[in-house]
Amino acid sequence: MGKKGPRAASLLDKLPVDPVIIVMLTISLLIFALFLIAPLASLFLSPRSILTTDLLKSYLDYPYISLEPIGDEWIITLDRDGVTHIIFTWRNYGIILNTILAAILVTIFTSIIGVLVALAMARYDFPGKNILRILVIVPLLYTPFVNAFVIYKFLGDGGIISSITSHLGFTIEFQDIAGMILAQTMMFWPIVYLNVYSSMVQIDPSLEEQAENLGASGLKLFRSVTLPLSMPGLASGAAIVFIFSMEDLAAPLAFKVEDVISIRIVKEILSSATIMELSPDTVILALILVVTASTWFIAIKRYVSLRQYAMVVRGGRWTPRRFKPSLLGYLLIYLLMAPWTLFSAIPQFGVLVYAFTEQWIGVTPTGLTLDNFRYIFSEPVTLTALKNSLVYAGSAVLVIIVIAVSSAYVASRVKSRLAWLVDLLSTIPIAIPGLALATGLIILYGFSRASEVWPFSLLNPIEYSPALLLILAYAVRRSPFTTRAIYAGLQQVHEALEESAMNLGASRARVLATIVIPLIGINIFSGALISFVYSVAEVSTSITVGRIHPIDEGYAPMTAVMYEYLTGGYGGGNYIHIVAAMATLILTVQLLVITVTNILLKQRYAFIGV
Amino acid sequence: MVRVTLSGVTKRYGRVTAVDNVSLEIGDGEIFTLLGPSGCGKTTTLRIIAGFERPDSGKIMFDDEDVTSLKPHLRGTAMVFQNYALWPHMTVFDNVAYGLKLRKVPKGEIRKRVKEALELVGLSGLEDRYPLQLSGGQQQRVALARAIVVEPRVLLLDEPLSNLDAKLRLRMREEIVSLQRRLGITTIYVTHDQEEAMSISDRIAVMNKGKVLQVDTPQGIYRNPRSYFVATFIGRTTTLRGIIEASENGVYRVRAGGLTIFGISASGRRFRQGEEVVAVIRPEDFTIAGDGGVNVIQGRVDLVMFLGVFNQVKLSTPAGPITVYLRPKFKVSRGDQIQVYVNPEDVKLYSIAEAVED
Repeated sequence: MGKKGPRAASLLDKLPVDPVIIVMLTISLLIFALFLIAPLASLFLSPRSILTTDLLKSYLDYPYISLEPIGDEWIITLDRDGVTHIIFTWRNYGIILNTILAAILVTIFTSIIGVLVALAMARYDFPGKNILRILVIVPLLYTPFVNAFVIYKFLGDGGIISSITSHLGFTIEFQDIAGMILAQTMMFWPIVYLNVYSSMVQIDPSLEEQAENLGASGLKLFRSVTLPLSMPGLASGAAIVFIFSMEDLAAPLAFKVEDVISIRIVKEILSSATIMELSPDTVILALILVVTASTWFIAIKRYVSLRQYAMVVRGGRWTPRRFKPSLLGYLLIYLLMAPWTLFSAIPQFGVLVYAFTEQWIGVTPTGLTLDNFRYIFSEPVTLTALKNSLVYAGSAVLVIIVIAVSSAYVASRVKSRLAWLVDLLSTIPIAIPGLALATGLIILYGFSRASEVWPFSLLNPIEYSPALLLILAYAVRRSPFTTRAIYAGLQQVHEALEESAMNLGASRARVLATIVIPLIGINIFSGALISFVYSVAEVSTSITVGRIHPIDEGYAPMTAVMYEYLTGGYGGGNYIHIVAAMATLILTVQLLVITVTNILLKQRYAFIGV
Repeated sequence: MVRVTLSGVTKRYGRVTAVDNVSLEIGDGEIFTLLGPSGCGKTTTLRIIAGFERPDSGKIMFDDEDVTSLKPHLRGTAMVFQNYALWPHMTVFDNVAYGLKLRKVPKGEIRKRVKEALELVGLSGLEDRYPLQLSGGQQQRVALARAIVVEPRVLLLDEPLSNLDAKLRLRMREEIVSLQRRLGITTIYVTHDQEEAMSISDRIAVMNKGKVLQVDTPQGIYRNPRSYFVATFIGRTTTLRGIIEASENGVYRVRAGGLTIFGISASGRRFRQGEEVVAVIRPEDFTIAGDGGVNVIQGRVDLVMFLGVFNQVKLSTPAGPITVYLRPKFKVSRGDQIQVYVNPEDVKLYSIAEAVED
């Protein structure tokens, strides 16, 4: 034994020497190592030659960081023709600071809204609650890019709301990053809501009753007991929103924002592929994304695990705390919460309007039609993209099932440091900005020396088809949905069921095949469906890796083509309508999947969280 | 500290009547126990007193103040929950200090009173721990300290010992009683454990199906159960079915299987000749008897279990199986034929209808 003996031994000691488990462990670790860890690591490692100190210093200045913001005002009011124009705008702090500041603001706004709505939904009963419960979820339905364009349509330059309010003597317009923040707040607040809500309904009612019994009520009760005990949910939700805001492309695209990291990376990454050289911008901005996001993620994860009180509770009875709101409560619910919820669901409905009409100029759309859908199925570019997406996502799901069954099983059944690592790796992809991963993948498999070594050379997205790399990227990014569903299923399967089979002489493989998989089949199926939808809707790697080749070469998936239509002049004057029709297809599949999984898993739509 | 009065309190959940026209008078400084099986309405009654549930009808008074519709946080009660309901995000100190802070007690005094309360429950020095770092018994004490530190008008205890192991339960039981005696707080205690209720209470209300069946001292409940439910719920009993043959001076002659036994009516109600009744006898009321005489029952020993103070002996008799406790000095073994005697005063008769309904 070498000097490292004792440590290695203690790690392996706790690992049952069981071939099936070792194979599972190896598969999961290998895929995560090759397509998650290695690409992210290559962001840090490969560009030594590019990243000189002088260059790094230049990033401390405009256009990256500008401590003297450009632009004078946050809100501009103009009086023209007797109409007051209120314009919310943004003072430009440079690409990097803009991104972080906007993400912080979006996190704060979504947290406040999410907590208040969660409190109302978790503790109060009021007419119309069930309708709101459904509406709240609508902003989370994925309609790549287009929902943000609808928000712009309503509140951007010459928006519908202004057209209506101009009769009352004023207009409201959101410009640039101010608009992006608004759009992201509307799109992401339900993430906080869902996480906080699930925390709140898990609080043992007696903890609040005890506080009341000792004299607390109202705000004091909320501040001293309810909110602190909801912090795990709030922290998880907030972390996700922060990361989503940083890597979001839809809102900046719709509000024509140039100076944020995500937009800049997408532009740079494509030019680097055409000139066959990496731009430092791509690497550095991707690094900033990863470092910021993972710092957040790790901090929050630590924070949450410290506060998972596992509820001290044993026994006692569980009388859910539901109240009738006071008069003020009713006013807040019906005059603020309900309108806001309705308002933030508008974009998804707007997508449908775009999809089924010829024109939407001014307030009312015109020309009810199915032409936009006919276009998708007749135009070669879009039809190929549709097929590509189905094939890529379908293949990814096969890989996902292997990863997810392995990592969920290992995480729930094996007590070892390696199992802990598998558990971490299988949840972390949610928190890794897709654009950073995409950049890493292109560096590693497109430019690095590893990309010249067989079999990795086959993955080179520049020389060959990007299909293989896309499939594996989807698999890594979307596996957490399936892993979670399976993990939840395994929690329900008592280990004694497996032990008694093994005790009767069954091998681990046989136990898996005859006991475990039949019992969690529904979880695998539902999880796979969810992963499939989110693979079809995947944006970050699709519009980067998937667009390295021009889209008419026929490798691009749907979201890449959608992006191209929104930015590159495809589709003529009604390009938004065509993109909206594609988004509607994705939306339809999503609704189907949600319905099916809800029926199968009897589980709420709460997959998004740390 | 107050007198608590419930009059005609009723609470329904849908078609279920959880609390059915309950009237109680709980004296100042008394330990009063609500005892009954799970689902009998005892916890709901307690929650109504605390203000977490509003009764559909009836009134709750603290002394002369009607608190029926007063919000829980204004009632000045302090409750100890079955699961202790310690806030996991606060230290022991903060948990105990919570109620005092709400009462705007000055900082220095909070410190002093929390310290005293923790001393009282024997937890000095654990102020900075979090609830999850404490054992079950310690958590229990924190919950108790948190309740008494605010000097509540009424102390409400909801199955406070049910999560503790047997030995700790006995100890905490004594501690709660001595603490209550020292502080003199009106205390309402909910439990399903009859032995616990017997040992700590000044008075007990036995509840079943939302109704209060009997309110009495522990001795009264044990010796003179007025209904079949109370008789069989409290302590161990043997029940024999029989038919009234005759009565004399309030003593009835009952034909039970192949036996004739004498007993008295438990509720004071008179039975008719030929009426079907159930006789309830406690095992410790039997003694070994000589031959012949009234209420001497002969039986074959089927099973002997050593319980320490007693031997629990199961006898096969012409009236059916009966259980008797015998002093270990009487050596009996399986298969022996023995004779036992029970005083007619200790044979309680109930109408069959009561027993069947139960």
